[in-house]
Amino acid sequence: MAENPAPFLLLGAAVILAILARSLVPWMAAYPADWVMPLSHWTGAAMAAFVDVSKPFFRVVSLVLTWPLDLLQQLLTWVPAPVFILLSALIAWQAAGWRSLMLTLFTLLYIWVAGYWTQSMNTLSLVSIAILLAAVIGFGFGVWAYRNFTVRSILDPVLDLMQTIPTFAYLIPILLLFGFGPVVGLIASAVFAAPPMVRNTLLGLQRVPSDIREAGLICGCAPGQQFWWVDVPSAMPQLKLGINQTTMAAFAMIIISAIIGGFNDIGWEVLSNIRRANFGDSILSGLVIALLAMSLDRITLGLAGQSDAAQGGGPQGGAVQAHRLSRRDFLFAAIGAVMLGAICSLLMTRLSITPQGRLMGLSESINAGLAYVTSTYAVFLNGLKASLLYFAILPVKIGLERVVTPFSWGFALTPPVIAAYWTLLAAAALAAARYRSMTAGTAIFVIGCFLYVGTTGMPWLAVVILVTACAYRCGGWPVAIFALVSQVFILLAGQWQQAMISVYLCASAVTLSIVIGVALGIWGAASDGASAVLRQVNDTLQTIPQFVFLIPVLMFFGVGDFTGLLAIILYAVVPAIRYTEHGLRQVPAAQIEAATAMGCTRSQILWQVKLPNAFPEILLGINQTILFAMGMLVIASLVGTDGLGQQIYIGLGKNDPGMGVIAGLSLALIGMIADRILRAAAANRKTALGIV
Amino acid sequence: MKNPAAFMRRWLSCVLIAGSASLALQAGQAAAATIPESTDPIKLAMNEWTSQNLLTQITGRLLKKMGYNVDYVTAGYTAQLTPLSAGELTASMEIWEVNVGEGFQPMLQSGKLESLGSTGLEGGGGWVYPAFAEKLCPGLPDYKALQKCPDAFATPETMPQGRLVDFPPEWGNMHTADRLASLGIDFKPVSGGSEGAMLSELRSSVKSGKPALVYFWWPHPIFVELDLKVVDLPKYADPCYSDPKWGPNSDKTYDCGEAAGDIVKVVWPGMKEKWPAAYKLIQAFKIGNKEDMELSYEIESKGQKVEDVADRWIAEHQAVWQPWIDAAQK
Repeated sequence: MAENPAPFLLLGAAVILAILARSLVPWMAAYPADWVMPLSHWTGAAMAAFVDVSKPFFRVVSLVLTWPLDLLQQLLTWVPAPVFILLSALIAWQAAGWRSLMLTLFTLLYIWVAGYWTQSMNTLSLVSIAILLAAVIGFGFGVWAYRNFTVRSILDPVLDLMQTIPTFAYLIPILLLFGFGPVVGLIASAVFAAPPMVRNTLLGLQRVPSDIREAGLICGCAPGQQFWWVDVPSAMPQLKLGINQTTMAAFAMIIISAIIGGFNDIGWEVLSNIRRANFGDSILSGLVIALLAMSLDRITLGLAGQSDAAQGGGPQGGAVQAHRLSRRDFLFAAIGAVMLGAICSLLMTRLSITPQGRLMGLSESINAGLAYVTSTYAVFLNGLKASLLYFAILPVKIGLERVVTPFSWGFALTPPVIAAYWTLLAAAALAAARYRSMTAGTAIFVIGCFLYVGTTGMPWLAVVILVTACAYRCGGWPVAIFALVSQVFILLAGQWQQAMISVYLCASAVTLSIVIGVALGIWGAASDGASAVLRQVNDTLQTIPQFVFLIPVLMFFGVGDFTGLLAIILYAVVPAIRYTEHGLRQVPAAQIEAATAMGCTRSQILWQVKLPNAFPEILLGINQTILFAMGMLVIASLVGTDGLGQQIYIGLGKNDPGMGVIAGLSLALIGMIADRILRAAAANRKTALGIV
Repeated sequence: MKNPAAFMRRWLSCVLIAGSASLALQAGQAAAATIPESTDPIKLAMNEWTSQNLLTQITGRLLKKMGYNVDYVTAGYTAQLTPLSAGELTASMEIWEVNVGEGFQPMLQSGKLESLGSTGLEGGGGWVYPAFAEKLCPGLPDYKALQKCPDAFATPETMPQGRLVDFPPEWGNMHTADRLASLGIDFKPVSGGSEGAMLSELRSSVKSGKPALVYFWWPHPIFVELDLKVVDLPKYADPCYSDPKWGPNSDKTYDCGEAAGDIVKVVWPGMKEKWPAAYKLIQAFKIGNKEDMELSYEIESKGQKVEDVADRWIAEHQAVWQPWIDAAQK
């Protein structure tokens, strides 16, 4: 199949022309400041007007929400710890079995012993109400979208934005609208946690089998009966899955709520420890959030009909819960647990036993260990950082033309060296175009160009052309137009330079995450033991507050892009691992047997059967990796990286709501461009492989 | 008991007399000093950092000694100003005029907030380095030494320039680039990101023996924890920022250190009416840099609780705080 080379050559020529024209045409090198529209100013003004009009309404909402929050908080802090622990353990067992019980028991005992009980109960009360709120609102919107096509088509991009715009970006407007205090954190959490509920409600209702629905109609159900007695029960498993995802999202927001402040919760505790850069205390308190999230994850998954045994194997678990007590027995067991707990706590008060403070030395030991590693391996760590910066990271950022100096690479970038680079690049691109495809050749050439001038040095016009062309190639006109419009928005908003720094950070982090994540995923798919270990690691990396990782990385590598990259990778590598493993495990056994019968070696099976088959799934993992990396950019700017994440903080510091929102929107748009292109690529690939 | 009615009457009158006597007694006290003037809790803001928490806890203990009800309310440093102006918070004990944000001064001037004067802390900020760096860059702490040895502070990202870990850009522009240029120091300022990151940078520098130059501020317990020195810059004076002729570089402005701002106590303006004696106590409260840093260090690095350190300070310093209370109760 020969492709017409003309468009590809044209593309290459355009990029080269743009690069050559940089020094001659000033507007080519940097997007001129006069072409920027005061978008952030307009946004700020529009928001101020909106706040003025609608503030009283939102203040009432805020006031109304304060009551249940206060009530639950008082209740949870009043209940003696042993009562709460035993009761929770019983619920965990009833919902999901022994392993869940052990996890819940361990979590709560740990919280108690480590001395974070009050803070954790405050957090739990806030998170519970946020989940309830998000579930109710999410369900409502899901039903509305199910019934009304227009709502559905509007809601989809809105949900995308709600999940991709960093919460920091709309912190100021929320503060202005809802006032001060824990309710603001509650509302921010609910906003972030509602989208998965909307999506799952919609999906669940759409998937109600038509014969069930018809059976309802035949029985003469009124519309209301049809909905509550037929549709909702059939969609229940999906709804419960939605609640599970909503729970996880609400936990991810704990730290953000704490930044808003006004609440003595565990997020505040973590935040204060991070501020002091006290790694021991940060990890001890961060672990509370991770453990709580994991316990609730297991419990809600259990309620959604998956037993512990089934959870390991994938989402299609059996709904059989053989161990479950009947409702009456459960009630008796609960009363027993409460009484036992009450007796325990009475005895403990009498004998004045307190569990707190037994972990006092632990935090100091962790800090001492960190200091030891920092001082012992200083030379090694510095060498590692310098070589990765010179040979990998800085070329992507500012380009070989600025990195290669006698000091860093051992030679200067003289004209013969430049000529050799371009000759080699052209040869490689031509060879790839000749023997693989025009796309491969063009890709190699474009990457070579990027490495030479750097992501931040590439003329904006070249980037716009390249991204739009790539979008067209993968997803046709709709994706291409979306990509073009989004980029024009970023240019007009004057965020281009910052956006390119974010793109460079993301691209480097994502590339490394994919390499590491796919390798680990292959390992996990090959061995069940490895899979179990990886699952624990993934769960921890995903639920522990991301700031916590930053402290040791900072001690080893200091502030700057390198530390920021490592922090992003630690978080963004998780979906790459998960989707690779999942994809590889889903390859049909028949195909592997066929390959074995044909005498394939193990590595042939991996490279020629399993990986190509799992490729669409891996692409979706990469898509998630990109979105996760974008989400970490804001946090990476806390260790001194520049870019849109930093812009959002500057907006916060200046109390300029427009600036934060525009920067957040730009970040979300970049994520959505990558998302649309990759999804289209995965779909193409699936069609090519015949697995739709 | 022959006459129960008479007994009852006597008993009743006893009770009545005693009751009215105690009432009278209370009234007498009230006339002298009605403390607490209101039993509503005084809400003290607890912000994000140790020193602030310590000052708040000490103040809270003194107010309780005077008979007030006190609540400690967790509140974000910049988010607290609006609730303070609305009376949802009563007082905040450590506000740095240099970094509290642009909204603060207008709120003071329009009477939405009231400043009760200095905390006694003398705040400042400058370029800080671990003491061992003096061996690698002789002539420090004089700033002229930095002109000669940027390479001692260079990193792969900034090579051949030295690296200055600056405060994060969201704190506003404090003219670091101008200052470096006009003092002839070939260092590249990079964002420190956050307080935790800057602290890690300093600790890491001490542990690994690699010098670092970091913008930092005082009072801060890190100065007790590590052996740190501050670069001597020409002392700030008003014309420095506006008059190029002033200072060592006669062509440029910003050839000096930074302007120091006060660290003050800020209260809800209604406090003076509602709790006058508490208002006077907060006005009188003062503590010194050295004491504040040492106590904060014990909390941050020795694992002591803020509450315990505050209790101990109260127990050991009656001579300091008794006069404040006496004066406030007059």
